This record gives sequence, C-alpha cells and structure tokens, in this order.
Amino acid sequence: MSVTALESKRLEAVLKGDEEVEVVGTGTDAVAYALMLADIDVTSAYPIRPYGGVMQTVARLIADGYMKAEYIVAAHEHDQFEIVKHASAVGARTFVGSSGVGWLLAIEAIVAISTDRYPVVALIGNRALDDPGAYGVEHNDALMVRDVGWLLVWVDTAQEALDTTLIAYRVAEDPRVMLPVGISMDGAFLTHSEHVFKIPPKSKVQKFLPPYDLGNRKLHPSNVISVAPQVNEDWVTEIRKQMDEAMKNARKVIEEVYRDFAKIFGRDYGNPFVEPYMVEDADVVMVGMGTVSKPIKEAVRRLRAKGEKVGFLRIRWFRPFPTDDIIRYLSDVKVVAVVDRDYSFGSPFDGGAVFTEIRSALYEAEHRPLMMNFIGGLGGREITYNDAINMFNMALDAARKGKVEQRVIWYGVRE
Amino acid sequence: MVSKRSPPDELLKFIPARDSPYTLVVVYGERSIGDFWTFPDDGTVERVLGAIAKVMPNILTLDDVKKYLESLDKPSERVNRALEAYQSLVKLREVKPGEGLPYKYEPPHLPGWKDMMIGGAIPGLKPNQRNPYFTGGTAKHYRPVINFDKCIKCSLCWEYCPDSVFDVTPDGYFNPALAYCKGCGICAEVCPVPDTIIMVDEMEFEDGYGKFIDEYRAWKENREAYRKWFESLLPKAQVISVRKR
Amino acid sequence: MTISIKLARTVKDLLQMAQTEYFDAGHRTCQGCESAMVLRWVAKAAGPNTIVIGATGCMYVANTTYYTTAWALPWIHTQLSGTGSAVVGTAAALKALMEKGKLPNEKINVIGICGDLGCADAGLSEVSNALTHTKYNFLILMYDNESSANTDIQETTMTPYGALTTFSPSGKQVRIMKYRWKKNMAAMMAVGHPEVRYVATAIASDPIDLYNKVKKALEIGGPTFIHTLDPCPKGWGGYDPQVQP
Ligand code: SF4
Ligand code: SF4
Repeated sequence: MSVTALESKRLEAVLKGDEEVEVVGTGTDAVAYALMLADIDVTSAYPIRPYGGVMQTVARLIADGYMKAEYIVAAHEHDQFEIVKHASAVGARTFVGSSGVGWLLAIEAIVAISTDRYPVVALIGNRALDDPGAYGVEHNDALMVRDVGWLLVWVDTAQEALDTTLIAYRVAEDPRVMLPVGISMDGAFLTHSEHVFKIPPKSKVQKFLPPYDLGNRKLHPSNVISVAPQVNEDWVTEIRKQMDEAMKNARKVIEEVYRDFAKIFGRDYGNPFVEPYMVEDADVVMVGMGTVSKPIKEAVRRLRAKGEKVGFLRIRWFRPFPTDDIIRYLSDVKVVAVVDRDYSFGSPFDGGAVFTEIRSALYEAEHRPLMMNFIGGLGGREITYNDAINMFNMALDAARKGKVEQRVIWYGVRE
Repeated sequence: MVSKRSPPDELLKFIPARDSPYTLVVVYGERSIGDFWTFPDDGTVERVLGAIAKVMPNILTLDDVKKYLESLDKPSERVNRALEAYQSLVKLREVKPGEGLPYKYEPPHLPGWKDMMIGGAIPGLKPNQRNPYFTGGTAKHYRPVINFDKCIKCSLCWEYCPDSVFDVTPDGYFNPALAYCKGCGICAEVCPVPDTIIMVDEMEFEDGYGKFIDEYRAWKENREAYRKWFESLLPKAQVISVRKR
Repeated sequence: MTISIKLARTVKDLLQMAQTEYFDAGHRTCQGCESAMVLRWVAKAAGPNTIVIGATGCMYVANTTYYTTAWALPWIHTQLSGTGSAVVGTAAALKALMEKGKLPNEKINVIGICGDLGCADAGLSEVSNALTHTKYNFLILMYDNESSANTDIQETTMTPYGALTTFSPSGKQVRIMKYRWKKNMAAMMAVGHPEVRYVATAIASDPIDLYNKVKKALEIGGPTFIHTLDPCPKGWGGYDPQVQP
C-alpha cells in the first residue's frame, strides 16, 4: 500500500528539485499529486466510487510523509463538505470530493460553501445518479450545482487534471473570485485509467500559487466577525449580486491564470475555456465535455482525411460559461452537434443540459447554425469511435440537406 | 386594530403620528404574546373578528363571523366572545393627521453590494459592546424598576438576565439598560429582597423608543425624588411571587 | 481527573471572574429565553480566545440578524446538522495551520452550539463522528428546549412523552400523538464514544455549575459534550419565565 521505491524517488525529485518528473498513474493520482504540491491543510474523505481513489492516494502520501494535512474521515458526504467549509473559514486550504449520489447528499453544504464564498476545490468523479445504483459516468451530478455559484470545469487527461487542480486553487482564491471550483472527471474513463503525465516541481508551484489569504474574513479571535447571520429580504439581493459579479470576474481571472501557468510551467492550453480541434472552415462541429473527446477526435481525423469538413469543440469551463468562445467557434458552421452525457428532462427541446446552454448562447449570434443533440454514453456506456463516425454522418447529412430532421437523438437507445 | 385594556386616547401617547387620517380601533383584551407564536386559544381571534364585524361590516358581517365560529369546536363560547366584542368591547377613535407621538421614522440607509463584506460576513462586536443596531427593548410589557436603597448588591439580577441588561456600576449596583430589556421579570423574581425590583406596566411611562430613563443616574442625582417616584409605582407593580409577599 | 483551573464557588466569584460579556444584549430571543442565558454563560466561560459555531435553530435565527450581531467572538453559521462537522473542520484547520506555522501557536477554544433537533435528530451522526476525533479540541453544546422552537414548536426526539406540540396535538380520536420517549443524549454520548473526554448536563438556572462545566470541558480538551435543558417561554405552554425551574 505504501509508496513504492520508484515513486518515492520521483516524489523526492519534484519536492526538492526544479525539474518536472514523468510518471504513470490514474487521473485521481494526478489530482492527489497536485494536492501535495498545493500544500493543502485540511481534507475530508468519504468512500464512494469513482472519486474515492484520490483520497486513497492522498492518504498514502500523508502516511509516507510526502504531504502534511489533516485527513478527516467523515460520517457521510454532508459531513465531509461541512468539515472543509469550516476549515476554509479559518484559513486552511482544503480539498474535498465525491461522486453521484454522494455529491447530492452533500448539496446543502455545497451551496453554503459557495454562498459563504469559500474557495474550496472539489473533485467530482462523475457518476450516474441512483436509482438504480450505477457506477458509470454521467454528468448530471456536477450539473446539479450549475446555478449556485460553483465554478465547474471538465478535464479529459490526467495531465490536465493535475494542472487544472493547481489552476483551480489559484482562480478560486483570487480575491476577485472567492468561489469554489468543482473539477469534473469522467468516472472510470479518467478516474481509473492509467496515463503518462508530468509532475511539476514544487518550487514552480510555489511561484504560481500564493498562500491562501481570506483577508478580513478569516475567522479568528484576532478578527471578530459574524459569518452568515440570518438575513432578510433587505439584503439577499445584494449578497447574490456579489456572487454574480464574482462569477463574471472569474472569466477574466481564468484567462490570466492560464497565461501565468503557461509562463511558469511551459504548458500552454491555448484557449482556457474550450479546446477547439480542427474547427477552422468546418461545416459540422461536434461539442462535448470530458473523455468523449477521445473517440470524437479520432473520428475527426479520419473524416478530415477523407475530405469531410468536420471538427470538435471540447468545453472545459462550463461555469462561467464560455459564451463568447461558443459564438466565435460555432456560429458560422452549418451544423452543431452536441453530445450530452447528461439529460435535462422537460427542458426547452427535451435535450441535454449542454445542448440547451449552447443553444441559448447562440441566440445572440449573427449567424445561427442548425443544432442537433445526441444524448449518449449514459451510465458509463462507452461512446466508441464507430459511434462518433455515425453521429458525424447524421450531422453531415443534415448539413447537406440544410435541415435537421430529428433534433434530439437518444443515441444507441434500444427500441 | 389593537387588542389592549387601555382607552384609545392613552394609546395615542405611544403611537407615532401619521400624515394621513385613520381610525384607531381598540378591542378590549389581555396582552398575549402567544397569538403570533403558538396560537393559544384565548379568545383574541374571536374578539378581533367581532370587532371587524362592528367596524367594517362591508368586509365581514356578524352573521359571517357566527357562521364561521359555529363550524368550530366550542361554538357557543366562541360566538359569545365575538358578540362581546361586537356589542361592548370595541372603542373607536378617529385620528387626525399629526395626532400621536411626535416621532419621525428615518428609514435606515442600507449599504449597497459593493460596500458589504462578501460571503454574508459582518464585523462583530467588541467585548461588553451591546448590539448598536438592534435593541429589542420595545418587546416589553413590564419594566423592572429598582429600589437601589434596598439593594444588597447580591448580583443575582445581573447573573440571571438573559439579555445582559445590567451594567455594573462603580459602587457595585446593577443598572438596567432598559433599551435592551425585554421585560421577562426574571430579575424581579430572583432578587432576594422583597420589593426591590418591581415590574411595572410599560403604560405607566412616557419615555421609550430608546429614550428610556437611566434609573441608577436618576437615583444618584436625587435619592429623595427617586424614592418618592418608586413608592408611587409600587402599588401598580405586578405581583411577581406570592412567596415573597 | 484533576483540573488546575480556578472554578467559581459563589455568585460573587462569577461577578469577579466573568464580568465581561462576549454574547451581549441586542438579540431577538423571546422574553425570558433561557437558551440566551446559556449562551451568555458559555461565552463568558470560554473567553475571548474562542471561535463559536452556531447551527440553524432558534439560537441562530434569534441571535443573529444580518448586518447586526450579538457576538463579540468570531462566530459562523453551520447548517442544521452541521455542528459535528463544523467543530471538527475548524479544530482541524487550527491544528494544521498552527503546526505549519501559518497561524501563531495558541489555545483557541472551538464551541459548536446546536439545538435538540440539530443535535439529537438531524446532526446525530455528525456529532457522533466528531466525538471520536480525539486529535481535535472542541466542545459541542446541545441546548435542549425539547422541541423545534424556532419553527413553531414541533416535536423532536427530545420532546417528552405525551407533550402537545404543533406536530403532536391531542385530538378526539388520537389522544397522545407524541408517543415516543425522550432520548438520553448525555448517556448515549458518554457510553457510545470511548474517547469522549467530558460529558455533562447543565441548566442555566444554576449559572455557577454551567460556567464551571464549560470551563472544565474546554480545559480538558479533546471532544467534549454538554447537554443543557432550556425551558422555552414560547413553547412550553404555561411556563412562566419568571418562575425558574
Ligand atoms: S426583565 Fe428580564 S430582560 Fe429585563 S432586566 Fe430583568 S431579567 Fe433582564
Ligand atoms: S438582585 Fe436585587 S438585591 Fe441583588 S443586586 Fe440585583 S437588585 Fe440588588
């Protein structure tokens, strides 16, 4: 169970040296290493798959002395999130996480974390909601908090998971933002798959990530404040407006932080909000979040080789929503096909949440593309390369005809 | 509409003046804090319904009230209370603009979102600093009046007040900050010397609205006058405890 | 266990040792609220080096009204069932930050305050989990007014058998709606948690005892628990705050 000799040599190198070190590990391992580098003070664990792996790695790193943090095993997820909320209030950098129904059990505390403006960073190992119990990925767990002041980001490689964790602390703790960040990671496809990734040296992380400072909101006998007293209608609008402003500020801050990240670590993500893949001059662009990018990118490459003008846009930051980038990349194409690993029953076109948001963002665009929605990959069902080709073919067909025959397609549903 | 034992003219001494005319309706009744909390079945509601029927028959007629009350349990008892109010317990008084307590209500200036701390945080108090923005003292029906001449400085009143009302004076007395006193009477009950803290109906005083007198200072300034004043209030004091009298 | 701190023996001791108010006047508690008295004495016993966490409940709603506060101690709200979690999170953060040199090393008391609903019902698993965390120093205080007093007096598991509440009225067909017996929290906390360092029951009508018990709990450190029984003038029908239990 303990850290292996090889791993130990590598960890010593990043903690003491100035060079990054290449390792093999899962998506959750990558997040755990980021937490070690970010020197978190308090974390709280509760077992649920698929997020739980991160806490096992963190426990190992603490037990072997590579990181120092209070590691609290909670009674349940609500307990877990309240623990970090209050640790954050005292000035501790905190980490927490969950999956599926666990995340939902904590929702009361989750909302209080954002309304109290504590920059907690959470990992959501995306998982289908009960009932019936299922392990596989679905994005509805994280999407449950899309309206309450959590910044939400989806990653699709272990490297991106590690880097985004560091970026998340810097963005969340920025005085202009002071909101929590939820990092979403597709259950199994990323949480449990092995990747090669690089761990940056701690010396660089210290340059990138200043200490957590709550300023005059730190709860301490030397700073007597009352936090979140019972409030009436005279004040609630103003308190929500402050959050609205912080969320809007976050767009600017995210751009700054990615630029700084590239400067310090030499890894440039380009556009921080979305990852455009061969979208230039494309007639059909597929849109998705998370690991679905893998088969779709492969399909794009093969179709491009055959002369089809297709592309892919992966959304990283869902909150704040990248409206400008959506308009920039999608408004001029013929057909936009959104792959939703989620559902939003009874939504305006009975489509998925991402589809509905993109549709709303494009309403203001000068040109509006035709739109299709594929609901697929639910409960962890794989979206394969062949599925991606099929979806592209349907979208290309609509582009040729200039008309979408079926707007929302439950892809692969058995009749 | 007020449920009270005092006549309208007496009440007007306490009701802030308004810019427009209105009708003051007093329904004779006991004080009751319960009605807005846990709804004790003490007849207040029936009397108020009877009063509405009397004052505003266009809204509710006596027949409507009867019909409703007869649908409940103990119908005759309830109807009787409504009838009582309808027939004799209601006093009307037309109030002219400007009549009443000269009292200007300045709406507080609330800060905007840019000036508020984020996250619902606010600055706390300093030790021994009472909440400057909220006092709560208008909740009281009875006020503690203290006979400092008899006080033995035992400090029990200070210990037991749930609202931290008593200031410790340099010479060891305990002076109530009446603006913060809710009138629960605990201090009067725990005081070991009979008739040293008495609870007197708030209607006996014309100060209020944060301008409560400072009892200790008044006593210091003129003990003889204070003693006389205290003795004049003594017969009006609420009987706190049979044990002591 | 021998305690090296000075405890109060008389009311005069209290006056000398605990004159400073840290939970001061200007809160919205009802007339004669005994829970307010509990908080007042807990704050006095704890002193200035303390962080207070208040769970949703009447002592949240009544004591803190946004933009004003009655606390001269750093105070934060936690959700109804969050007390156990909040004290652990706070104490753990203090420990981590002090060990890493991010905060000066000093003793800071952490006190979580919850009502009977927040502690014995909704938050029981969190409180129970907290009491196993021997690494951290905190006190959980359950103020038990035997009902959900803030929300109109509904029954909780701490409401005594047979009590009338708005969720357990007595009717024509069902005479006794509250048919469950009250939980024994102090015993459950003491027996069920082998590492809990101190468990006590108290009542504010004996402030010396309450003061000393809070002092002891904070001095002993580790996970500690105090159950106070708080008569509620609003909820306990017929209870007159002037007559102390
Ligand atoms: S009446 Fe109650 S609130 Fe007023 S001073 Fe006495 S004990 Fe305090
Ligand atoms: S309780 Fe009575 S005797 Fe004791 S100090 Fe107060 S006023 Fe004086």
